[in-house]
Order: sequence, then C-alpha cells, then structure tokens
Amino acid sequence: MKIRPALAAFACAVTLALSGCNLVGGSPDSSNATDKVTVTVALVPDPPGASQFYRQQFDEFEKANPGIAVKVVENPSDQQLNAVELMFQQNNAPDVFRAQDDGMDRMAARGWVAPLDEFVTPDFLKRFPAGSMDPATSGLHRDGKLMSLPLVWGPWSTLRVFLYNEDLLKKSGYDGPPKTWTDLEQMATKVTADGKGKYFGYAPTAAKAVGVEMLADTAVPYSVPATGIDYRTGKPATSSPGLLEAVELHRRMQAAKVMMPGWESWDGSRAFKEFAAGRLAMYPTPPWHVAEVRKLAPEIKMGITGLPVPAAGRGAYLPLTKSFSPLWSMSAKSTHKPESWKVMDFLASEPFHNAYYKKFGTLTALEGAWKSEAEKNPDQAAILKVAQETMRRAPNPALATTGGRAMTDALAAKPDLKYTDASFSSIIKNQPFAPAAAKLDQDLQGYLDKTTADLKAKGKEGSAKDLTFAGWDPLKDYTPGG
Amino acid sequence: MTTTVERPLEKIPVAGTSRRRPGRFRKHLWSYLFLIPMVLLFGGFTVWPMIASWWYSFFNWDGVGTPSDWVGLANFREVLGADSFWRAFWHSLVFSLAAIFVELPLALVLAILLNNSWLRFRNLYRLVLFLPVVATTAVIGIVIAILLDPAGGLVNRILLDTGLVDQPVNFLGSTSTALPTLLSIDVWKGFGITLIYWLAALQTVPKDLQEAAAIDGAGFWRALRFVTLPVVTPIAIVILLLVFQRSLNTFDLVRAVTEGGPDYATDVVPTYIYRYAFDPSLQAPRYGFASAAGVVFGLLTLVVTLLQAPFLRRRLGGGKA
Amino acid sequence: MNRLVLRRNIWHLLLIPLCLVWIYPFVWMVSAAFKTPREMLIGGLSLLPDEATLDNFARAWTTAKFSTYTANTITFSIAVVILVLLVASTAGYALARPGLPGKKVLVGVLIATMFVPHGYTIIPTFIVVNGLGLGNGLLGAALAQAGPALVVPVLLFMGFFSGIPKELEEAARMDGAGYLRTYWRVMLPLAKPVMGTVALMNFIGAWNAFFIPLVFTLGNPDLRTLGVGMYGFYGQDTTDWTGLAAAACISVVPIVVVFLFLQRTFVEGIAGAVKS
Repeated sequence: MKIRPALAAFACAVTLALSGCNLVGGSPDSSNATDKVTVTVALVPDPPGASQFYRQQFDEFEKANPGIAVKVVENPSDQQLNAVELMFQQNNAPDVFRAQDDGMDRMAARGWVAPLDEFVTPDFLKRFPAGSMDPATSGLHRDGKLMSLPLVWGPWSTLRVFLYNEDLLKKSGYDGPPKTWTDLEQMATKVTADGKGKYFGYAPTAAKAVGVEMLADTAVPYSVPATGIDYRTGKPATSSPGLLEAVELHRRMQAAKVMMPGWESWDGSRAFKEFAAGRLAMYPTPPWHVAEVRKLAPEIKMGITGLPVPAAGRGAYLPLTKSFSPLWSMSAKSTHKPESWKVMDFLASEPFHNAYYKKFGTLTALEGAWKSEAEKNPDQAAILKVAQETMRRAPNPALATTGGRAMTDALAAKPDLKYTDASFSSIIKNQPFAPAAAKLDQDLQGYLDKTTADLKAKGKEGSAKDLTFAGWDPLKDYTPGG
Repeated sequence: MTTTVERPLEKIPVAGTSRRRPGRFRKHLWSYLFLIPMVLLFGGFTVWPMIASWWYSFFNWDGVGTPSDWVGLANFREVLGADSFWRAFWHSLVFSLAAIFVELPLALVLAILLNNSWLRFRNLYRLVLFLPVVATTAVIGIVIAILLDPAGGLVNRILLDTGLVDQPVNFLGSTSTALPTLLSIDVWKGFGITLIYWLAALQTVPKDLQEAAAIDGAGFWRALRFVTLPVVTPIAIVILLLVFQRSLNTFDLVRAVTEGGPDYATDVVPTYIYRYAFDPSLQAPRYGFASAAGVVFGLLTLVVTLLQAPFLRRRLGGGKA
Repeated sequence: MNRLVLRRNIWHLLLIPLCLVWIYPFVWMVSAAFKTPREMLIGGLSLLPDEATLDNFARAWTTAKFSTYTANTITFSIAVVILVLLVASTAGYALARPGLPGKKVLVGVLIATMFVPHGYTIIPTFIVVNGLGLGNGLLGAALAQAGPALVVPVLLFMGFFSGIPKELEEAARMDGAGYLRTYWRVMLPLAKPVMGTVALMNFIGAWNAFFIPLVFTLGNPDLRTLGVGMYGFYGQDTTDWTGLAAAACISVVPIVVVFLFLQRTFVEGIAGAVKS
C-alpha cells in the first residue's frame, strides 16, 4: 500500500506527460496555423485496409493542391451515421462525409447535406456513363438537386450472381450450373449426398435465408420480396406464387437436409469462406463475394453465372432502380465549400477510381477507370456478363414522387411486415409458408391504409397510388413516364 | 468477529445524540462531504441521462435535435404489446438465472479452492480462468463459430468420435440449442470476473481461521458455515447483484455469436433496444421507442429484484441491522 | 502428513483438465494471430500455424494506430481507475457509517440504477459532457466512463467497510486520528482486496471501452483508444480476422500484466491488520 499510490501516481504522471494535454483536450486543429485550408473528411475504413489507402490518396491530393490539407476522421461502419450526426450537433461537422444509400437521406432530412449543382460542370458529368446522371434516375438527386457522389458501380448493389464449384459439380456428373429451380434442387440433393458430410450442395447464403429473396427476384417483381408490395398493382403480394415457391423450395431442401448445416447462424461473410474451402458447391450471392473467394482460394474452379429461374420460365429480371447509390456528401455547414468540392471532385476522379479498383477489386462508378482491365479478368468479365444478361431498369417510387418516398420510408420502418422472418421460420420449422404470407398481406394492407390516412391527416402526400406503376413489365427495361 | 457482535457497543453513544437533529448532521458532516464526489459524478452521468431517457420515451424521436413529437404512452403501449419484446425479456431472464444459479455457486467453489495457500500453481489457475474475460468478444465469436460448426467443427468431431451423438449438433443454428449454447459461452466468458469478486470477498475472512479450517478436515465445513459465509455475506449480496446485472446486459456476445438469431431464439433486451436505437440499417432510428423499451426493462427487472428482496434481507441477517 | 499432501494434490487432477478446456478458445485466438487469413478461415483446426507469419501484428500496429492509441488508452484507463477508486472508496466509507441519515435512500437509488440498461443513455451523457466543454478530451470520456461504473464499486466498498470490526476504528480514533486520517491511513489500506478488484475491473472496462471513447473524441480522432482502433479491421461486409486477432493479443498483454500485478492484493487479505 505504501508503494502503490506512489507507483500509480508515477505511472500516471508519465502517461500524462506522454499524451500531453489529451485529458482536457482543446480545439481540434490548433496546430495547423498556416494559411492552408483544412478539409475534414469523415469516412469509414472499408474494406479492411482502406485506412492506409485513403491516406495515401489524400497525400497525393495535397501535393497537387498545396493550399488544402485533408484531415481524415474514421468511424467504424456501424457507427458512421451516429458519429457524424453527433459531430454536427457538436458544431464540429466534417466538410465531406460518407453517408451511404438511405443514410444520405437521413442526413439530408436534417438539412445537413449541401446540393452540389453549383460546382458541377458539364465536363465533370462526362466522366459518368451517358445518361446515368439524369436527375430522375441517377439515385443521387433529391428534388432535382445533386446531393451526393457515388463510389461503386451502379448495378453493384442490386446485382446477384450464382457461384458454383465446377469440380464438385463434375464429381456428381454435372457439366454446368443449374438453369432452373428444379435443376437446383436435384443437383443440390445429389451433390450433398455424394459429399457424405465433407461438402454440401447448397446454402441460402446467410442467416435468415437471404438466398430466398435472390431467387425470388427471378420470379416476381423485385418489390414483392423487398417491400411486400407488387409495384404493378400497388397491392400487397407476399402470397405471389413465385415468392411462395422460392420459400417452399428452401423448405423442402432444409427438410431433406440438403443444405449445408449451420447456415442458420452464418453472418454475411461466411458463405464465401465455405465455398473457398471447397465445402459448399453452389450459392447465390452479391458480386463482392467473388473477389473474396479468389483471395482465399486463387486456384479454385469457380463458375459465375446468372441465378437459376423458375421451371416455368423467368418472371422478372433483377432490378436496376437507379444509376448509382449515394456515398459522398458535402456538409451544408461547411465553411470551405469550394475546397471541399475539390476533395469531392478528386474522390470522383478517374485516377482515384482506378486506384480503388486496383486495390480492392471493386467495380467503381466511373466505368472508364476499369472497364478495359475488368474485361481481361475472367471473374470480373463474368460479373459484367451476368449484369448485362439478367438486369433491367425497374421503377423506383422513392425517386418518382415525394409521396412514393414517404410510402417506401414507412414500409422500411416496419421490417416485421416483410416476408423475411416468417419465411425463415417456416423453412427451419418445416411449416407451409402460404398461411403466414396471407396474414402478412392482410397486415400490410392495414398498414398501407393507416399510413395513407396518417399522411393525409398531416397534409402530406402518399398513398398506394405512389407505389403503382401500371405499365411496368418486369421482363422489360422500364423508362419513367413511359 | 462478525459485525453483529460489535454493533450494540457502537450504538450506545449514538442513541444519546440522535434525538437532536443538528447534532446528528454535524456528526455526519464528514460523511456527507465524502459523498459529494459520488453524488456529482453519479448524478451527472447516470441519474440525469436516465431521467432524460424517461423523458424521451414519451416522444417519437430519432435522437437528433430536440424531441417535439409528443406521443404520450404510445411507445409504452407498443413495447408492452410486442411479443418480440417479451421474448427478448424472457431470454434476458434466462441469462440471469444461468448466471445466478450456475456461474455464481461454481465460481464460489473454485474461489474457495483457489484461495488456499497450499494449492500449488494457484496463481496460474486463476490467470487461466480469468483469460476469457479479456479475450476480445468479436474474435471469440468467430472462434466459437469455427469450433462449434456442425459441418466438421472440432466439438462435433469429438462428440461423433466418442459416440456421444450420432448426428452433428447444430449448436448455433437450431432454435432449440442456440440459447443453451450461448448461455454456456456466457458463463465461460464471465466466470473469471465472478471468481475474482469471490476471491476478494474471501479476503475479508481472517487468515488464521481459514488456515485452521483447511488443516482440520472436519472443521472445514463448520468453518465455512459459521465463519466464512457470515463474514462474506455483505459482499456476497453485492456480488449477486453484480452478476445479475451483468447477465441482464449481455450484449456483445450475442451480437458477435448469433446476432439474436436464429429466428430470434437468442434475442435479448439489449440487442432488441440496439436494433431500434442504433441499427445503421434503420432509415430513422426510433430513439424514443428504444428509450421506452429500456424504461420498461428497467422497471421489470426492478420488480424481479424486489421479489428477491425478502430472501436477500433474511440472508443479510444482522449485517445491515 | 503424506496423506494430506496426496489429498491436496488430487485437486490438480480436476483443475488441469478444466483449465485446458477453459483456455482452448483463447489459445485458438492467439494462434489465429500468427496464421495467414487463408489458413485461419479455410484451413484446418490445427492450433499450430502451417507457416507462422508476423504480418498480422505489423498490420495491427498500423491499422489500429497502436503507437498513438496505446498512450491514450493508458491515460484514459488510469484516469478512470483513479476516479472510480477515489470516488467509490470515499462514498463507500461514508455509507458504511452506522446510522447515516439518508443512507437507505441513496443505496436504494444506486441499486435501482443498476438495472437500467446503459447503452442507449449515451445521447444525454454526450449532451452533459458537451455542456461542460469536455467534449473533445479524454477527461470527459473518463468521467462518462466512470460515472455509470460507480455503483458496484461503491457497494463493494460499503460492504467491505461495514464488515471491518469497529474496535479498529475506535483504536484509531483514540490515537487522535480524525475522519479523514482514519479513512486514509487505517481503512483504505485494509481495503486492498476490494481496491485491487475494483481497479482491475475498471481497468479492463476502460481498456476495452468502445462507445464512450468513440463518441467523446469525435472532433479529435487522435485521442481515440485501442477499443475504438480495433474497429479499423471491420469493413462494411468483410473483416480482417487475423489482423483483429493480432490486435486482440497485443491489447490483452497489458491487462494480463495488471492482473498479475494486482494478484497480490487477492492473496494478502486483512489477517495481519485484524490482529494488530
């Protein structure tokens, strides 16, 4: 006891000396007293290793723009939005920040996102594929104003591919991937039986059987699994035969122990590990799994193809509901907007996108930055081909009308009305899905009516009409107003 | 030896002055001074945020700016009417039952054993039992997933090889085994903390008595019953509360291992609240609703604790007088 | 005597297998830190890496910014421990005085708050610290971390002090020691086991803390701690598991050192003090 307080005090003094006045803290940037303008960028170190990548890139940017210093604030992916929100509340907002997809709308709704139109030049727009920056379909505009810049390739977020291990299929006597759901069921059953517990035919990608939705997207309009509503009619449609069959297909395979055991608790990045380890023969997936498999198993004979379709034929294509997903936004409270724009301009430049593609293998928003290289890479070429063949433009109520956004927001706030939990439960408990689906449709209709009434009472727009696109054929490209 | 014996002596002078209030307060002036730092720190960083969150629970609020959309008791009605909340509450309760009836007594037994100075390597044993506490939960999550994998995981391989099971057990993927599995991992991960608390509690037992008890085999149980346990009791109550509270707040482990699944079979109240307050996939967080769920959870556990109170008071005996 | 030795050694037959099983996942974590990502994720179950690599540690050092973050973490953790020890021991001592008016209410409030889940009170806490102007320093973070962590230490100190025989204190008082002196010279030294426990638990808690150091250093990320730095290994979709395992190993070392250091306080006890 006589020694310890002294020791503790000593240790404390040492660390205090080490860390300077860290305990009390001070103004964030007192050291940068030069005439440089500091632009703060709040980003997410994603994917792993991105920390160093961004720093390097910004160092190059600073060399080219001697008047600007870029300060990076990193936040964990999970906490980025919360952290940026708190920074705003602290009057310590970053000048440029990453707010992805709905996250951008969340920030914009608070009035924290600056429109970028005053900075955008025709030359700037030419960097993007022709027509992709149309305010009605870009996905980056709100009320006709450009609110965000993209990072990844437009189709990247909604594209789904089907991966198969050629060697394992060959062992069971199959030369190619399944074309239909019936093929899939038969082949998966055979492969699992031949695997004798060493490898398995199929898994629905991750917990909650997310594979169901991917397959269902080839049978019913994408909006049915995504929101429960059929955008052709504006009515609840969880009971659509295509979705029912996608669930029943998985239920049968689960009951017959065809699917790889344990998938019920897989996280989103488990399937590619099992596939790379040669223990899983086939599964549907977002395209980013491809690069991950390659990293773990450079030699594996991986086939990349379109998703199998219902035996009766394709009922829908994968949706392309917008050109891009929002990612980089500028703070409305920034006091250095022109300098911040320079940083954003850099983040949307061809050299940056090419470097990003080279480092992480992600297809980025500026196709010109990687297209020729990607076509030489078999994996990436296959992804491009699947996108070409299985994706079509689809209507997006959130971009079409204010009422549409209000309605989709309301639906997104009620995840328990989605098919997901009910279908997962019927798959693992081996119960028919149809009764649960009928109940969901009924609840969904009630919720739609209530939402419409609530919106009306508040004097806002929004009704089932905003979710209805009568002329839409999910087997054809959709053009707004057409 | 125990506090009860000394109390009457102490009380005599107090009884004389306690009638005159000013004198009583002056007598305790120092005690109140000593309490000030705690009241400030605790009031500012625990009580105030708590009261604030009660206030928020009456609003439909997303956590930014000043709450303005007053909804009265609607959030509470929604919480109380949600089956998913009650399911999560039940799971949280199961976690605390496991901690109190499995972890707590087991840790006491090992603490008594590891408290013996004649036991060689006892420091090493303590360290080993303690290490899981400081192992990063996220990494433990993936290690556990690999070890328990039904398709070739080590545990299933051992179970199959020894013939204990004839089919791999889907530990984390089946709704019937996921919760018990998670409970075991939770006990494993938290055991070291409880052990340390018990060891500290045992230090309050004078050493010569422990030694005497250990050498005389017959005296051991009597010493345990009449010396160790009574001395340890006041702290034991705190340890019980502590373990109860920690188990109710199990969060990291559930997030890292099952994320509440499959089919919400392992959903607990903290993960439930997190989904509404902080889940990044939410368009707008329902902070007001999450606060209401927190308030209801707090009140419910308080009720559960009060139900235990008569039992605790009896156990406490003269300790609190 | 021989029989006694035998009987005592029998315990090892129970303890050794238990400890081996107990530590297995932990050892697995350590071994993963030396594996390549490929071997960890799709390799076998072997504990020994096929080809041991130190890459993960190098990555951990740079990604989690260990060089800067370690100093912050030490400052933060020590500040939290000192705050908690001082505040909780004084409060526990005061609350252990017999017949203190208002004691029951205070203890009741303390216990009641134990059951309120804390994670979501971060926003009001943030508002308090911001209001005090401590929003961008480790002191604000330390206060926010120490505040809710007080309940258990206060109760532990209270339980401990009220268990100490009163004649000890009477003796001190007769020697002319005042309230403060009795607390500091007589009672606090006796409380070593509790102090050790409280210090250890809060040190671990602060060392691994995530939410508070994240939220309270938003404007000044250079002040973040290792608990936050660890999240550099997570991407939106994928995680650098071997890097994370390496970082986990590095960050466990100081805690083990602290544990071994505080071990003593669990061993010594108060036997000598009672006799004198």
